[in-house]
Formats: sequence, structure tokens, C-alpha cells
Amino acid sequence: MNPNRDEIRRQLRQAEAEQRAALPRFGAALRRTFDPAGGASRAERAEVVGLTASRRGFLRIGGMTVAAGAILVACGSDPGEDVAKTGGTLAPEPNALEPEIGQELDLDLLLTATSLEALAVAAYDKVLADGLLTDSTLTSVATLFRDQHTEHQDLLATTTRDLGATPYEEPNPYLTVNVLDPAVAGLADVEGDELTTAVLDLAYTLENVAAQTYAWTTSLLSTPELRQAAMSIGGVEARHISVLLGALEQPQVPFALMKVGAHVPEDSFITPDGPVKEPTTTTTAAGDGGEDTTTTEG
Amino acid sequence: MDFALLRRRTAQVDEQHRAAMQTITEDLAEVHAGGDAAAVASRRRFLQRASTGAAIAIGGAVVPLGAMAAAAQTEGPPETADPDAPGGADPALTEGGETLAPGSAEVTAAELTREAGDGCTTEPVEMTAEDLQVVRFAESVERAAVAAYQLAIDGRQLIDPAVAESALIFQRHHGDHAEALYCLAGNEPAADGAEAVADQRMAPNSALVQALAPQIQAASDQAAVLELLYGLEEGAAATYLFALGVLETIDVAGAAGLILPVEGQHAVVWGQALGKPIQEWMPAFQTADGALDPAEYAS
Repeated sequence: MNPNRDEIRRQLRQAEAEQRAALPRFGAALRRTFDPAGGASRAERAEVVGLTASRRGFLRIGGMTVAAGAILVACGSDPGEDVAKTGGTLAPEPNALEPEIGQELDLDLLLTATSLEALAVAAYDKVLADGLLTDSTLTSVATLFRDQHTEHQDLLATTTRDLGATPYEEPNPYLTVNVLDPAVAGLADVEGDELTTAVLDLAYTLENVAAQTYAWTTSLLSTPELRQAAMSIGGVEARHISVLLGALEQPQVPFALMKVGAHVPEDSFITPDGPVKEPTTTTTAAGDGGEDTTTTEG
Repeated sequence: MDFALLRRRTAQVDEQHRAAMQTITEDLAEVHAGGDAAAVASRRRFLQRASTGAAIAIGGAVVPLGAMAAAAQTEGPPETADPDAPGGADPALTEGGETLAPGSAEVTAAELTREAGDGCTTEPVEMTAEDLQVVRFAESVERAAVAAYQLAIDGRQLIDPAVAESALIFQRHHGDHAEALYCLAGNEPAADGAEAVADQRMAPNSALVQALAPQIQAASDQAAVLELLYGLEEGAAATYLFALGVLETIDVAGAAGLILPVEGQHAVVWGQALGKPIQEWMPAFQTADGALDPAEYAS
């Protein structure tokens, strides 16, 4: 229950290296198979997320790299190539919302999710750059999580481009102003163990918003493929939560069902036209000897 | 973007997760406030397999489940839900000490039946026949997980109190998932007019039970048991991810999206407890690799 920390760090480095190697293949495969114009068959879409046609070993774990590699072998490396061996095309999927709303919402959710990932990356970058975590194991964990969020962001952004839209790759402005910035400012007031706890709390908050948002989107996205792709990421954010809760000495699986009440608010949505609500910053010059006052509103 | 429709939809979804939600079944009841009976152009292989596996269990045939099924038999409707605080106590902590005694060698599906609708607070979701089969299969897997955990708990190999406590909590989670899925499917006829589903809960997936039981019983120590439970959780998470790729009914998909993350979290705990390499239990992306194949685990 208390593994050697050197071994953990070694594993973290190994995991990081493996993920770096796997991402390009996995991302390219996902983009091609989930592109509605790509013509990938359902079997191929199943395979790219790891479900091979062969007998699946129930207790086998991992294998993402192998699965992603397999689909690439089948698909070739040129995005312009015919992805589907069978030549099949995606059938129109039913949508609980009106189709035009559903498709529009799909893109909004994709853009918003990308901004959430960028926000997480920015937060972990800040924590790491400022040395806010002194424990080397926690630093390694934060680095791994940051890198995984980077992978998620890259994948979502590339998928957005492949769908003909422009990705939004900045940290979500609404959440930056209303969540991240206040939390980071609060870190200046604590030190030692309290600082570590505050940093972990911040990470938990961001991961929780992300995980609940992805779970929430499964009731909104218009196609099974999109819902599956969302949870291929959302499921990992939930795993991050468990690790952080463990570090905070809290129950690691506090709920039987993922909650969604903390999903991103409407004001944080990103549309193809940009953020729904741009935080505004005004600077007012103070009087004699005083400092300028900056007020930011979400 | 016109947010009016999104707001209505969001209100439906958000409703389930209000801070004061009382039961897991209520959670899911609130998820599926709307219905969606989509036409499906073609049956997919997974769905066909799910149909085969679930039909056997639903049919009420005698299933040799042994002690594990008896354990599941005593699994009642979920208790009052946990407090909302992320680190709050789980009701399983207070309820988890209950004794789920091993039973006879054979248990019929009928013996596992409860009065229809108990624990469910709203009407089931209208869904396609294919989706219904997936839900029924998932319910049978969850009940098998409950049984597997019971056997692990009864085996006395879980000597670490924290591990034993976690096992009780996770068992309760799987019971909650099973009840939620049961309530989601209900006893309504399938949307395409197929024969009505029997008025009963699913039995634990007997193939899965039969695959796991001997291994758990033969496990020599805590690590050996946890290895099996870890594999069970990873398999469950992978299965829900795959299901998300085939479920057409959006409200059913929404429910799967609430369960999948928790199975993955269970895997994290067991992976850490086993000292497994972090890349095993913390991949960059959840995949469907290792998903339960309904053909292989037909009850």
C-alpha cells in the first residue's frame, strides 16, 4: 500500500515516455475514425478505442498503444487515404435535440472541452514552474497529469481542425477569472503543508469540473461516437480525481455515480465565435501614491 | 448559439445531481427525464451478443451460481446516498458490515426477483431494443461484480482493514449501479414492440461468476484477490466505454457516462494497492480494450 517512491518516479517517467510515443498514433487514429467524413466503419471505430475483433481477454489491461497501432496499420498514415477498409460510411445518428442544435452544440462542447484542458495545463504549469509542490512524488504526478491534459487538448484541437473549425486553445477565460486566478492568489497566503493541501485542492477542483463536464456531455452530444470519445478522456479525469483525493487523505471513490452538477457553466462556453462571455478587465488609476486597481469581471 | 434548448436539456440533466439527492436510483431516474426511441439502421455485433447473453438470464433459467449468487441475492435496493462533499463518508461505510451469507449451490433467476419497481422512483426510459439488451447485460455484470466482491470479502484474504473497507464500498457501488440500470430499463416492452422483458431483476452474469469464482476461491493472499478485482474493474470500465459507442438512446448513454468513471476510480485504488506500474491504471485515454464480450460472458 506504500510503494517505494523512487519506483513510483521511475514508473512516472516511463509512463510519460510511453504516452509521448503513443499520442501521435492514437490521436491520428481517433481523428480519422471519428471524422464523420472519414468513412470509418463501426468496427474500425471500435478497434481504435481498443476493442479488437479478436477474442478479448477479460482480465487484460492496457493495450491502447497496440490498439491504436493496429488501426493505423489498417488505415495508413495519410489522412487522405481511405480509412475504411469496408468502404462504409457513418449512418446519420439520432439526436435527442433538434439536429441543427445538436451539431452546433457538439462543436461548442468540443471547443469548451479544449479550453478546459488548456486551463488544466496552465494550472499545472503554474504549480510546477513556481515550485508550489515540494514533494517530488507529487511533482511527478502533477507533471504526468499536466502532460495527459496536454495530450487531451492536442487531440481535441486537432479533431476540431479536422472538422473544419478553428480550435480554441487558450485556457477557458471565464474559469480562469472565476476559479483559477482566485485560487492561485490564495496560495500566496499559505505555506508548508497548508500550501500542499491548497494546491491539491485546486487540482482537485479543476479535475472535478473537467470530469463532471465530460460525464455531463454524454447526455448532450449527438452521436455515440462523440459520447465515447468524450468519455475516453472524461474517464481519465475521474482517475486523476481519485489520485488527488488519496493524496488529500480523503476517500478515493466518494460516490457511486459520477456527479455532473459541477459541470462548466453556460457563461464558460466557447463557441466558434469565441467565448460566450469574455471577462472584462478595467484598470483604474489611483490617486497620489496609490497603486492602480485592476478589476476583473467574469 | 441559442442556449434555450440547451438550458432545458441541462436542467433535466442537472436535476439528478442536486446536492440533496437521496438515492442512487433517484439519481438515475432524474437523468432520464426525457426519452429517445431512435431507429437503428442495423444491429451491431456487440448488440447481437448482448442480446444473446441477456436473454438467457432474463428467461429465468436455473443458473448454477453457488455462493456468489446467493450473496447477490441479498443485495437490496441502495441505501440513502452519501453526503455531497467530495471527501464525505460513503454510506457503505456504515452499511457495509452487513452479512451476506453464502447460500446454496443453485439459485434460480426467479429467486433473485424482487417486486417490480421497488427502489425506482420514476418511469423507465424508452429505449431501443438493442439498447435495452446492453443495459440488461450491464446489469448482469454489475450483479456479478457484487457477487465477486462478496466472495472476496468472505474469503478472509483481505487482511488490510483499508482494503477490506474499500471492497465493501466498491461492492455497494456495483449494487447501486445494478439497481440504477434496472430502474433505467424497467419492465417496459422494448421500443420496437419486442416482447416485454420479464418483471424481474437480472441475475448475476453466470458466465462471469463462473470465470471469477474459482480464481477468487483459489487466491492465496490479498494481492491475488486484488489482482482479480482490479481486472474486474478495468474490464467494467472498458465495457462501458464500448457501450457508449453503440448506445443510441442518449439518456441511456448519459447513465453509462456516470458509471464508467467510477469503475475506473475503483481500478485506480486497486492498482495503487497492488503497487502496479502507474501506466497500467493511469492511461492517457480510457480505452475499450478488455471490454466484456457478451458472447464470451453470455449468462
